[in-house]
Amino acid sequence: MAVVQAGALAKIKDLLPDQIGANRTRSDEFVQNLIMLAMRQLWSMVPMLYGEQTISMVANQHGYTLDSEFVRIKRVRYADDGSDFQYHLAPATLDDFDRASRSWRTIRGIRPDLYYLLSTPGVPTASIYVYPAVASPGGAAIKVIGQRIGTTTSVVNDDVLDKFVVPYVLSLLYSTRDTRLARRFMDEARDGASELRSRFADELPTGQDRDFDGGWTK
Amino acid sequence: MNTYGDIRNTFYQMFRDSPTDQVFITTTQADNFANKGLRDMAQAAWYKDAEVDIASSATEFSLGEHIRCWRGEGTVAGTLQYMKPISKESLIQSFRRFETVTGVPRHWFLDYNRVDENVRVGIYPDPGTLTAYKFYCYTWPTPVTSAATSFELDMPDWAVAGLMYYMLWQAYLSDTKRQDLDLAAFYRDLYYEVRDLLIGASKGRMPSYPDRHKQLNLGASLRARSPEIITGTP
Repeated sequence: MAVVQAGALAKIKDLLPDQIGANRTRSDEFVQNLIMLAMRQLWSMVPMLYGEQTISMVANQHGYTLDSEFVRIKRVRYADDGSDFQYHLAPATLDDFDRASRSWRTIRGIRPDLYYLLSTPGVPTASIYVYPAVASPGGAAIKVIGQRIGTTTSVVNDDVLDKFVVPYVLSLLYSTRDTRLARRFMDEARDGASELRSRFADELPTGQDRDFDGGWTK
Repeated sequence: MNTYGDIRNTFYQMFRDSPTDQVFITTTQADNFANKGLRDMAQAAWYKDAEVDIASSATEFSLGEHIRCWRGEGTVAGTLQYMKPISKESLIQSFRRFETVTGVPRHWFLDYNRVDENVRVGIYPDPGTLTAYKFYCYTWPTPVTSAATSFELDMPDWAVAGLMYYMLWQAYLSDTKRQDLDLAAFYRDLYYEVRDLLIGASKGRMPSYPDRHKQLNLGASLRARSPEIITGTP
Protein backbone atom coordinates (compact mmCIF):
# COMPACT_ATOMS: atom_id res chain seq x y z
CA MET A 1 0.00 0.00 0.00
CA ALA A 2 1.20 3.54 -0.65
CA VAL A 3 0.04 7.12 -0.25
CA VAL A 4 -0.89 8.26 -3.73
CA GLN A 5 1.17 11.40 -4.25
CA ALA A 6 4.22 10.61 -2.13
CA GLY A 7 4.35 6.96 -3.19
CA ALA A 8 4.08 7.68 -6.91
CA LEU A 9 6.66 10.48 -6.68
CA ALA A 10 9.17 8.13 -5.04
CA LYS A 11 8.64 5.49 -7.74
CA ILE A 12 9.07 8.05 -10.54
CA LYS A 13 12.20 9.47 -8.95
CA ASP A 14 13.65 5.95 -8.90
CA LEU A 15 13.15 5.76 -12.66
CA LEU A 16 14.40 9.30 -13.34
CA PRO A 17 17.32 9.68 -10.92
CA ASP A 18 18.55 13.21 -10.22
CA GLN A 19 15.98 14.74 -12.59
CA ILE A 20 13.21 15.71 -10.18
CA GLY A 21 13.42 18.02 -7.20
CA ALA A 22 14.86 21.37 -6.20
CA ASN A 23 17.26 22.77 -8.85
CA ARG A 24 16.48 19.84 -11.16
CA THR A 25 14.88 19.62 -14.56
CA ARG A 26 11.42 19.17 -13.07
CA SER A 27 10.14 20.29 -9.68
CA ASP A 28 8.46 17.99 -7.17
CA GLU A 29 5.34 20.12 -7.32
CA PHE A 30 5.04 19.77 -11.11
CA VAL A 31 5.36 15.97 -11.01
CA GLN A 32 2.93 15.80 -8.07
CA ASN A 33 0.37 17.70 -10.15
CA LEU A 34 0.77 15.21 -13.00
CA ILE A 35 0.39 12.34 -10.51
CA MET A 36 -2.94 13.72 -9.31
CA LEU A 37 -4.14 14.29 -12.88
CA ALA A 38 -3.41 10.63 -13.58
CA MET A 39 -4.91 9.37 -10.35
CA ARG A 40 -8.13 11.37 -10.69
CA GLN A 41 -8.61 10.03 -14.20
CA LEU A 42 -8.06 6.50 -12.92
CA TRP A 43 -10.56 6.96 -10.08
CA SER A 44 -13.13 7.94 -12.70
CA MET A 45 -12.39 4.89 -14.87
CA VAL A 46 -12.06 2.23 -12.16
CA PRO A 47 -14.59 1.87 -9.34
CA MET A 48 -12.07 1.45 -6.54
CA LEU A 49 -13.12 4.24 -4.19
CA TYR A 50 -16.59 4.93 -2.80
CA GLY A 51 -17.89 7.73 -0.67
CA GLU A 52 -21.05 8.94 1.03
CA GLN A 53 -22.73 12.27 1.47
CA THR A 54 -25.43 12.77 4.10
CA ILE A 55 -27.84 15.58 3.21
CA SER A 56 -30.34 16.88 5.75
CA MET A 57 -33.81 17.34 4.32
CA VAL A 58 -35.19 20.87 4.17
CA ALA A 59 -38.92 21.47 4.37
CA ASN A 60 -40.60 21.64 0.96
CA GLN A 61 -37.30 21.47 -0.94
CA HIS A 62 -36.65 19.16 -3.91
CA GLY A 63 -33.08 19.99 -4.95
CA TYR A 64 -29.85 19.54 -2.99
CA THR A 65 -26.25 20.18 -4.08
CA LEU A 66 -23.96 17.17 -4.43
CA ASP A 67 -20.32 17.03 -3.34
CA SER A 68 -18.01 17.52 -6.30
CA GLU A 69 -15.93 14.44 -5.38
CA PHE A 70 -18.53 12.09 -6.83
CA VAL A 71 -17.96 10.44 -10.21
CA ARG A 72 -21.06 8.24 -10.35
CA ILE A 73 -23.97 7.85 -7.96
CA LYS A 74 -24.63 4.26 -7.00
CA ARG A 75 -27.59 4.46 -4.61
CA VAL A 76 -29.58 6.87 -2.47
CA ARG A 77 -31.13 6.01 0.91
CA TYR A 78 -33.40 7.86 3.30
CA ALA A 79 -33.70 7.95 7.08
CA ASP A 80 -36.61 9.49 9.01
CA ASP A 81 -34.33 10.13 11.96
CA GLY A 82 -31.18 10.92 10.00
CA SER A 83 -29.35 7.78 11.18
CA ASP A 84 -31.22 4.59 10.17
CA PHE A 85 -31.07 4.71 6.37
CA GLN A 86 -33.46 1.87 5.65
CA TYR A 87 -35.51 3.38 2.80
CA HIS A 88 -34.30 3.16 -0.75
CA LEU A 89 -34.89 5.86 -3.40
CA ALA A 90 -35.22 4.70 -6.99
CA PRO A 91 -33.52 6.52 -9.90
CA ALA A 92 -36.07 8.26 -12.11
CA THR A 93 -36.38 11.09 -14.60
CA LEU A 94 -38.33 14.32 -14.35
CA ASP A 95 -40.77 12.71 -16.81
CA ASP A 96 -41.34 10.00 -14.18
CA PHE A 97 -42.04 12.73 -11.63
CA ASP A 98 -44.64 14.11 -14.07
CA ARG A 99 -46.24 10.66 -14.36
CA ALA A 100 -46.61 10.53 -10.60
CA SER A 101 -48.34 13.92 -10.66
CA ARG A 102 -48.39 16.85 -13.08
CA SER A 103 -48.07 19.23 -10.14
CA TRP A 104 -45.35 17.19 -8.43
CA ARG A 105 -43.69 20.38 -7.25
CA THR A 106 -46.53 21.02 -4.79
CA ILE A 107 -47.01 17.41 -3.68
CA ARG A 108 -45.66 16.55 -0.22
CA GLY A 109 -45.13 13.08 1.21
CA ILE A 110 -43.98 11.15 4.24
CA ARG A 111 -40.65 10.43 2.62
CA PRO A 112 -39.06 10.76 -0.84
CA ASP A 113 -39.29 7.79 -3.22
CA LEU A 114 -37.53 8.88 -6.38
CA TYR A 115 -34.44 10.88 -7.28
CA TYR A 116 -32.99 12.51 -10.36
CA LEU A 117 -29.53 13.98 -11.00
CA LEU A 118 -29.11 17.39 -12.56
CA SER A 119 -25.69 17.86 -14.22
CA THR A 120 -23.04 15.16 -14.22
CA PRO A 121 -21.74 14.29 -10.73
CA GLY A 122 -18.48 16.13 -10.23
CA VAL A 123 -19.65 19.42 -11.74
CA PRO A 124 -19.62 21.99 -8.88
CA THR A 125 -23.31 22.80 -9.45
CA ALA A 126 -24.49 19.17 -9.75
CA SER A 127 -27.56 18.48 -7.65
CA ILE A 128 -29.98 15.72 -6.72
CA TYR A 129 -33.74 16.17 -6.99
CA VAL A 130 -36.01 14.07 -4.78
CA TYR A 131 -39.73 13.43 -5.08
CA PRO A 132 -41.87 13.99 -3.19
CA ALA A 133 -40.51 16.76 -1.01
CA VAL A 134 -41.18 16.48 2.70
CA ALA A 135 -43.20 19.18 4.48
CA SER A 136 -41.89 18.54 8.02
CA PRO A 137 -38.63 16.64 7.76
CA GLY A 138 -37.50 16.98 11.37
CA GLY A 139 -34.13 15.22 11.47
CA ALA A 140 -34.68 13.32 8.21
CA ALA A 141 -31.80 12.95 5.80
CA ILE A 142 -30.78 11.19 2.61
CA LYS A 143 -27.47 9.43 2.14
CA VAL A 144 -25.96 9.50 -1.35
CA ILE A 145 -23.47 6.71 -2.01
CA GLY A 146 -21.29 6.66 -5.07
CA GLN A 147 -17.94 6.23 -6.76
CA ARG A 148 -15.66 9.17 -5.96
CA ILE A 149 -12.18 10.55 -6.45
CA GLY A 150 -9.69 10.61 -3.61
CA THR A 151 -7.11 13.09 -2.37
CA THR A 152 -3.33 13.46 -2.40
CA THR A 153 -3.11 11.43 0.81
CA SER A 154 -5.43 8.58 -0.23
CA VAL A 155 -3.89 5.16 0.19
CA VAL A 156 -3.89 2.76 -2.77
CA ASN A 157 -2.33 -0.57 -3.66
CA ASP A 158 1.18 -0.35 -5.07
CA ASP A 159 0.11 -2.03 -8.28
CA VAL A 160 -2.30 0.84 -8.95
CA LEU A 161 0.67 3.19 -9.02
CA ASP A 162 2.94 0.76 -10.88
CA LYS A 163 0.45 -0.24 -13.56
CA PHE A 164 -1.14 3.12 -14.33
CA VAL A 165 0.16 6.23 -12.57
CA VAL A 166 3.89 5.75 -13.12
CA PRO A 167 3.72 4.94 -16.88
CA TYR A 168 1.10 7.71 -17.35
CA VAL A 169 3.33 10.35 -15.75
CA LEU A 170 6.45 9.05 -17.51
CA SER A 171 4.58 9.36 -20.79
CA LEU A 172 3.89 13.03 -20.11
CA LEU A 173 7.45 13.70 -18.92
CA TYR A 174 8.97 12.01 -21.99
CA SER A 175 6.52 13.60 -24.44
CA THR A 176 8.73 16.61 -25.18
CA ARG A 177 11.79 14.40 -25.72
CA ASP A 178 10.45 11.47 -27.74
CA THR A 179 6.83 11.18 -28.84
CA ARG A 180 7.16 7.46 -29.66
CA LEU A 181 8.40 6.75 -26.14
CA ALA A 182 5.54 8.82 -24.74
CA ARG A 183 3.02 6.79 -26.74
CA ARG A 184 4.61 3.53 -25.58
CA PHE A 185 4.32 4.51 -21.92
CA MET A 186 0.74 5.71 -22.41
CA ASP A 187 -0.15 2.37 -24.03
CA GLU A 188 1.32 0.67 -20.96
CA ALA A 189 -0.87 2.87 -18.74
CA ARG A 190 -3.96 1.96 -20.78
CA ASP A 191 -3.19 -1.76 -20.41
CA GLY A 192 -2.73 -1.20 -16.68
CA ALA A 193 -6.10 0.54 -16.45
CA SER A 194 -7.78 -2.45 -18.16
CA GLU A 195 -6.20 -4.85 -15.67
CA LEU A 196 -7.24 -2.70 -12.71
CA ARG A 197 -10.76 -2.29 -14.08
CA SER A 198 -11.24 -6.05 -14.32
CA ARG A 199 -9.98 -6.44 -10.76
CA PHE A 200 -12.18 -3.79 -9.15
CA ALA A 201 -15.30 -3.82 -11.32
CA ASP A 202 -16.63 -7.28 -10.41
CA GLU A 203 -18.19 -6.74 -6.99
CA LEU A 204 -19.48 -10.23 -6.39
CA PRO A 205 -17.23 -13.28 -6.22
CA THR A 206 -17.74 -15.60 -9.17
CA GLY A 207 -15.35 -18.32 -8.16
CA GLN A 208 -15.58 -21.33 -5.95
CA ASP A 209 -17.48 -19.58 -3.15
CA ARG A 210 -20.65 -19.61 -5.21
CA ASP A 211 -20.18 -22.87 -7.06
CA PHE A 212 -19.04 -25.18 -4.32
CA ASP A 213 -21.26 -28.24 -4.56
CA GLY A 214 -21.23 -29.22 -0.97
CA GLY A 215 -21.93 -25.75 0.19
CA TRP A 216 -24.54 -23.25 1.03
CA THR A 217 -26.05 -22.64 -2.43
CA LYS A 218 -28.34 -25.71 -2.12
CA MET B 1 -6.05 20.77 -8.42
CA ASN B 2 -9.31 22.18 -9.63
CA THR B 3 -8.66 25.89 -10.08
CA TYR B 4 -7.87 27.41 -13.45
CA GLY B 5 -4.57 28.69 -12.10
CA ASP B 6 -3.43 25.14 -11.24
CA ILE B 7 -4.20 23.74 -14.68
CA ARG B 8 -2.79 26.79 -16.47
CA ASN B 9 0.49 26.55 -14.55
CA THR B 10 0.80 22.85 -15.30
CA PHE B 11 0.08 23.55 -18.97
CA TYR B 12 2.84 26.15 -19.09
CA GLN B 13 5.30 23.81 -17.37
CA MET B 14 4.43 21.02 -19.84
CA PHE B 15 4.99 23.49 -22.71
CA ARG B 16 8.24 24.67 -21.10
CA ASP B 17 7.07 28.25 -20.88
CA SER B 18 5.66 30.30 -18.00
CA PRO B 19 2.73 32.67 -17.48
CA THR B 20 5.16 35.40 -16.42
CA ASP B 21 7.63 35.03 -19.32
CA GLN B 22 5.03 34.14 -22.01
CA VAL B 23 7.82 33.44 -24.51
CA PHE B 24 5.71 31.33 -26.91
CA ILE B 25 2.14 31.44 -25.61
CA THR B 26 0.59 34.48 -23.98
CA THR B 27 -1.87 34.13 -21.13
CA THR B 28 -4.59 35.45 -23.41
CA GLN B 29 -3.88 32.64 -25.86
CA ALA B 30 -3.85 30.13 -22.99
CA ASP B 31 -7.23 31.46 -21.82
CA ASN B 32 -8.62 31.14 -25.35
CA PHE B 33 -7.36 27.56 -25.64
CA ALA B 34 -8.91 26.69 -22.27
CA ASN B 35 -12.27 28.22 -23.14
CA LYS B 36 -12.32 26.44 -26.50
CA GLY B 37 -11.62 23.18 -24.70
CA LEU B 38 -14.34 23.78 -22.11
CA ARG B 39 -16.88 24.51 -24.81
CA ASP B 40 -15.86 21.50 -26.88
CA MET B 41 -16.28 19.16 -23.90
CA ALA B 42 -19.61 20.74 -22.93
CA GLN B 43 -20.92 20.46 -26.47
CA ALA B 44 -19.89 16.81 -26.75
CA ALA B 45 -20.87 15.60 -23.28
CA TRP B 46 -23.77 17.89 -22.27
CA TYR B 47 -22.45 17.58 -18.75
CA LYS B 48 -23.86 20.77 -17.29
CA ASP B 49 -27.56 21.45 -16.85
CA ALA B 50 -29.05 24.84 -16.17
CA GLU B 51 -32.46 25.75 -14.74
CA VAL B 52 -33.69 28.92 -16.42
CA ASP B 53 -36.48 30.70 -14.56
CA ILE B 54 -38.19 33.33 -16.65
CA ALA B 55 -41.39 35.34 -16.44
CA SER B 56 -42.83 36.78 -19.61
CA SER B 57 -46.08 38.02 -21.09
CA ALA B 58 -44.76 37.35 -24.61
CA THR B 59 -45.27 34.05 -26.42
CA GLU B 60 -41.71 33.94 -27.79
CA PHE B 61 -38.64 34.89 -25.80
CA SER B 62 -34.95 34.23 -25.38
CA LEU B 63 -33.49 31.93 -22.73
CA GLY B 64 -29.94 33.14 -23.13
CA GLU B 65 -26.89 31.36 -24.48
CA HIS B 66 -27.22 27.61 -23.97
CA ILE B 67 -26.43 24.52 -25.99
CA ARG B 68 -29.97 23.20 -26.18
CA CYS B 69 -33.18 23.17 -24.22
CA TRP B 70 -34.61 19.82 -23.13
CA ARG B 71 -37.56 20.52 -20.84
CA GLY B 72 -40.09 23.27 -20.25
CA GLU B 73 -42.59 23.94 -17.47
CA GLY B 74 -45.27 26.65 -17.36
CA THR B 75 -47.46 27.98 -14.59
CA VAL B 76 -50.88 26.34 -14.43
CA ALA B 77 -53.19 27.14 -11.50
CA GLY B 78 -50.33 28.65 -9.58
CA THR B 79 -47.87 25.78 -9.98
CA LEU B 80 -45.24 24.91 -12.56
CA GLN B 81 -46.32 21.98 -14.73
CA TYR B 82 -44.74 20.08 -17.61
CA MET B 83 -45.21 21.55 -21.10
CA LYS B 84 -44.95 19.14 -24.00
CA PRO B 85 -42.40 20.03 -26.69
CA ILE B 86 -43.87 20.54 -30.13
CA SER B 87 -42.63 21.82 -33.47
CA LYS B 88 -43.68 25.15 -34.84
CA GLU B 89 -44.39 23.47 -38.18
CA SER B 90 -46.97 21.11 -36.67
CA LEU B 91 -48.68 24.06 -34.97
CA ILE B 92 -48.84 25.91 -38.30
CA GLN B 93 -50.20 22.80 -40.02
CA SER B 94 -52.95 22.29 -37.46
CA PHE B 95 -53.96 25.96 -37.32
CA ARG B 96 -52.21 28.67 -39.35
CA ARG B 97 -53.28 31.39 -36.91
CA PHE B 98 -52.15 29.40 -33.86
CA GLU B 99 -50.68 32.57 -32.33
CA THR B 100 -54.22 33.89 -31.75
CA VAL B 101 -55.22 30.94 -29.56
CA THR B 102 -55.26 31.72 -25.85
CA GLY B 103 -55.29 29.38 -22.88
CA VAL B 104 -53.20 27.52 -20.35
CA PRO B 105 -49.57 27.02 -21.57
CA ARG B 106 -49.30 23.32 -22.39
CA HIS B 107 -46.71 23.29 -25.19
CA TRP B 108 -43.39 24.89 -26.00
CA PHE B 109 -41.36 24.96 -29.17
CA LEU B 110 -37.91 26.00 -30.29
CA ASP B 111 -37.92 29.03 -32.50
CA TYR B 112 -35.39 28.42 -35.27
CA ASN B 113 -35.57 31.99 -36.52
CA ARG B 114 -32.64 32.87 -34.32
CA VAL B 115 -30.71 36.06 -34.95
CA ASP B 116 -28.00 35.48 -32.32
CA GLU B 117 -26.48 32.78 -30.14
CA ASN B 118 -29.40 32.72 -27.70
CA VAL B 119 -31.91 29.88 -27.48
CA ARG B 120 -35.38 31.19 -28.33
CA VAL B 121 -38.52 29.34 -27.33
CA GLY B 122 -42.20 29.84 -27.98
CA ILE B 123 -45.24 28.99 -25.89
CA TYR B 124 -48.61 27.62 -27.04
CA PRO B 125 -51.27 28.63 -26.42
CA ASP B 126 -50.83 32.24 -25.38
CA PRO B 127 -51.56 32.61 -21.64
CA GLY B 128 -52.36 36.29 -22.26
CA THR B 129 -50.75 37.45 -19.04
CA LEU B 130 -47.36 37.58 -17.31
CA THR B 131 -46.53 33.92 -16.65
CA ALA B 132 -43.63 32.20 -14.90
CA TYR B 133 -41.77 29.44 -16.77
CA LYS B 134 -38.91 27.13 -15.98
CA PHE B 135 -36.72 25.63 -18.68
CA TYR B 136 -33.93 23.08 -18.38
CA CYS B 137 -31.02 23.46 -20.78
CA TYR B 138 -27.65 21.88 -21.44
CA THR B 139 -25.45 24.87 -20.99
CA TRP B 140 -21.92 26.20 -21.46
CA PRO B 141 -19.46 26.14 -18.57
CA THR B 142 -18.37 29.45 -17.06
CA PRO B 143 -15.41 30.75 -19.10
CA VAL B 144 -12.00 31.19 -17.48
CA THR B 145 -9.56 34.08 -17.50
CA SER B 146 -6.06 34.68 -16.21
CA ALA B 147 -7.45 37.62 -14.25
CA ALA B 148 -9.13 35.10 -11.92
CA THR B 149 -6.82 32.12 -11.55
CA SER B 150 -8.38 30.95 -8.28
CA PHE B 151 -11.64 30.29 -10.11
CA GLU B 152 -12.81 26.69 -9.61
CA LEU B 153 -13.21 25.05 -13.01
CA ASP B 154 -16.81 24.46 -14.03
CA MET B 155 -16.30 20.79 -14.84
CA PRO B 156 -15.69 17.51 -12.99
CA ASP B 157 -12.30 17.51 -11.27
CA TRP B 158 -11.37 14.12 -12.73
CA ALA B 159 -11.73 15.42 -16.29
CA VAL B 160 -9.45 18.42 -15.81
CA ALA B 161 -6.57 16.52 -17.46
CA GLY B 162 -8.60 16.66 -20.67
CA LEU B 163 -8.65 20.43 -20.53
CA MET B 164 -4.86 20.53 -20.18
CA TYR B 165 -4.47 18.13 -23.11
CA TYR B 166 -6.71 20.32 -25.27
CA MET B 167 -4.61 23.37 -24.41
CA LEU B 168 -1.38 21.48 -25.21
CA TRP B 169 -2.85 20.21 -28.49
CA GLN B 170 -3.68 23.77 -29.56
CA ALA B 171 -0.38 25.14 -28.30
CA TYR B 172 1.73 22.62 -30.25
CA LEU B 173 -0.46 23.18 -33.30
CA SER B 174 0.15 26.93 -33.16
CA ASP B 175 2.71 28.43 -35.50
CA THR B 176 5.40 29.10 -32.91
CA LYS B 177 9.01 27.93 -32.69
CA ARG B 178 7.68 25.12 -30.50
CA GLN B 179 5.27 23.84 -33.15
CA ASP B 180 5.28 20.05 -33.19
CA LEU B 181 2.49 18.39 -35.13
CA ASP B 182 3.38 14.90 -33.87
CA LEU B 183 3.13 16.04 -30.29
CA ALA B 184 -0.07 17.92 -31.10
CA ALA B 185 -1.57 14.66 -32.38
CA PHE B 186 -0.44 12.85 -29.20
CA TYR B 187 -2.21 15.35 -26.95
CA ARG B 188 -5.24 15.41 -29.25
CA ASP B 189 -5.63 11.63 -28.75
CA LEU B 190 -5.30 12.00 -24.97
CA TYR B 191 -7.89 14.78 -25.01
CA TYR B 192 -10.41 12.67 -26.94
CA GLU B 193 -9.94 9.80 -24.45
CA VAL B 194 -10.83 12.03 -21.51
CA ARG B 195 -13.68 13.59 -23.47
CA ASP B 196 -15.09 10.12 -24.15
CA LEU B 197 -14.94 9.36 -20.41
CA LEU B 198 -16.88 12.57 -19.77
CA ILE B 199 -19.46 11.68 -22.40
CA GLY B 200 -19.94 8.27 -20.78
CA ALA B 201 -20.26 9.73 -17.29
CA SER B 202 -22.73 12.34 -18.48
CA LYS B 203 -24.97 10.17 -20.64
CA GLY B 204 -24.85 7.31 -18.10
CA ARG B 205 -25.21 9.37 -14.95
CA MET B 206 -28.45 7.66 -13.87
CA PRO B 207 -28.00 4.06 -12.67
CA SER B 208 -30.28 1.73 -14.59
CA TYR B 209 -31.46 -0.02 -11.45
CA PRO B 210 -30.88 0.34 -7.74
CA ASP B 211 -28.23 -1.96 -6.33
CA ARG B 212 -28.65 -5.30 -8.05
CA HIS B 213 -32.41 -5.58 -7.63
CA LYS B 214 -34.66 -6.03 -10.60
CA GLN B 215 -35.41 -2.93 -12.58
CA LEU B 216 -38.47 -1.29 -11.06
CA ASN B 217 -41.70 -1.31 -13.05
CA LEU B 218 -42.04 2.36 -12.43
CA GLY B 219 -45.64 2.52 -13.67
CA ALA B 220 -46.94 0.03 -11.14
CA SER B 221 -44.59 1.25 -8.46
CA LEU B 222 -45.71 4.83 -8.90
CA ARG B 223 -49.37 3.89 -8.61
CA ALA B 224 -48.64 1.92 -5.46
CA ARG B 225 -46.66 4.79 -4.08
CA SER B 226 -49.44 7.38 -3.98
CA PRO B 227 -47.96 9.78 -1.49
CA GLU B 228 -49.92 11.00 1.44
CA ILE B 229 -51.06 14.39 0.27
CA ILE B 230 -50.52 17.05 2.84
CA THR B 231 -50.79 20.06 0.54
CA GLY B 232 -51.17 20.62 -3.17
CA THR B 233 -53.58 19.76 -5.90
CA PRO B 234 -52.99 16.37 -7.56
